[in-house]
Amino acid sequence: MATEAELRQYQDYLVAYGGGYLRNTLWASDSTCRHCCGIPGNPDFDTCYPCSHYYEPSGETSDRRGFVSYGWDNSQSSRVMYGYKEQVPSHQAYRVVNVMLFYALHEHLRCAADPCHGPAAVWATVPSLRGRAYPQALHVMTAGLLRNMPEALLGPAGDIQAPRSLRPDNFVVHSQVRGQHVLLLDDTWTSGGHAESAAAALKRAGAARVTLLVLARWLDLTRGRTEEFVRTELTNDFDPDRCPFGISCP
Amino acid sequence: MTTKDRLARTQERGRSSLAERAALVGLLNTRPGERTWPELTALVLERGEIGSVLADLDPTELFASQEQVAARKESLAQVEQWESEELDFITVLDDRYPERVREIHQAPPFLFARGELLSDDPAVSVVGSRKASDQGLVMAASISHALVEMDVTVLAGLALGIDTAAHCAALDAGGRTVALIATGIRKEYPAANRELHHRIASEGLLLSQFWPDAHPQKHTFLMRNATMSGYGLATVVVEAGEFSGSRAQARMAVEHGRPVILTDLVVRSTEWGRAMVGRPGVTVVSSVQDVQRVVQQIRSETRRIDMALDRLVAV
Repeated sequence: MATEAELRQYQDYLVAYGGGYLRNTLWASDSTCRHCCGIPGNPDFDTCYPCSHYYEPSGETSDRRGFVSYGWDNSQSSRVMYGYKEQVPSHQAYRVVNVMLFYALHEHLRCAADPCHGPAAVWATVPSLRGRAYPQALHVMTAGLLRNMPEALLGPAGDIQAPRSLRPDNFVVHSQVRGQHVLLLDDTWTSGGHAESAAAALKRAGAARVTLLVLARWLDLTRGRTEEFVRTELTNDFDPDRCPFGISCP
Repeated sequence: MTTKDRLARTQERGRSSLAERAALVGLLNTRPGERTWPELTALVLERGEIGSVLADLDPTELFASQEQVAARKESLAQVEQWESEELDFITVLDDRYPERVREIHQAPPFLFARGELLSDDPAVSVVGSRKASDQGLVMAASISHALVEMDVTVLAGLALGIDTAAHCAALDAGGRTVALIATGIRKEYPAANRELHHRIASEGLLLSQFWPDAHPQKHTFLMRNATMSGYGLATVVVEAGEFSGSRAQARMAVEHGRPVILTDLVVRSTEWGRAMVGRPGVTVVSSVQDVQRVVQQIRSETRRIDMALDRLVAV
């Protein structure tokens, strides 16, 4: 646990060193998808195509999703979200991502508590399907921050196909998760297939509930009206106290 | 990962070989798939090496045509030529490439250096108008002196006006100064600063992100300002107009998550200065002591946050 003074220090740090380029996600906005807060290609729809056609109908994806920020290519957000996990990590990026993750867990994990299953009791990170040789930075970071919570081991399957589509068989659950509320973490969500497949693998292994917490909802500025959305609607500097789950925090 | 682990990884960076440097020059000249320099730089950083990027992006490289063989020879000859001129060519993967510059999304793929490169150079940009008032010039000099007093490097762009005042004051006070220039490193621009150019190269450090003979162009100034924002711990804008390079640097610094210090003169006299008050990391100062206090705070911030983060993961 952190003291009030320490929390204040993290908050100030995140605002001073990330506030100028990080952007809070928008839920309950006419412009964003109600499942993933991305930008639906058709502005008349409230859900984007993959969410409404694949994830929601499957009935086995995550129950709740939180997105701490938006990010996009060729920007400081991309430098930070890639830089923190390079083999030689960028110091600034590592600090910002570490504080961002800590603050979201400390302040907003309770926002994802479930009336029946309570707060998440087990955590997992979405493993890479590209076979990286070195340990994944987000996993190392989370293991340090959540060391008092048990981990559910989730790994890539031997046979990986279409890693970006909804394919739960791309993942293997090595731990007992039956009846549990699992917190699943990932650093970026682009189209969501990767993370939702991991969530579905946990569901198939018996998890009662999966809450997904993602640090950056990645936007493709070349698509539809996304660039305009970023320019006109993401004008406010980052506020760490805005809820990634889009609720008024308890 | 603790701060110690991260620093240990950083120490693993070495110096790129002649062949690796030539491979980078080749990659930037051929731009496989018409990728931009920032895209290529991002790939190089992600892979942590140069050779495989070229081979992957351009598989025909493996069965090189005569032109490709010639192009490769040319890149190598170029790098050897720079070496013989004692032009220091540093790739984005080199241990000597300034860490803070590598942290910004416009990190140049390479830098040319003349002078002494320091690892973790504690620098602060002191920037402002070319056509500065007498008051502005005096302020730039006293801010520069105050930074030297704190053993902070004075960083500027070798332009006339505020930049020149800041560089000169630092040199006169026996401090370190770094110039990030908007031309190739062989150019002496502006002509009036030819002597200062050489003095900084021999007593401080001159850095350029362009090919050695590049002329100054509108966009090179902007690119240079982005790099300057990256190199420094913070940017001080002493005096600036409504539309100026300093304004652009202040905006980019906020977008990089780098502190910006505006003098009350800038806030009083520009609309953009007023609009920046309250943005993340922006402070307004009204005295040299204010500058020292804010810079001191910024310098200790990194260490404090690292210690706090290490405590979080300590068993």
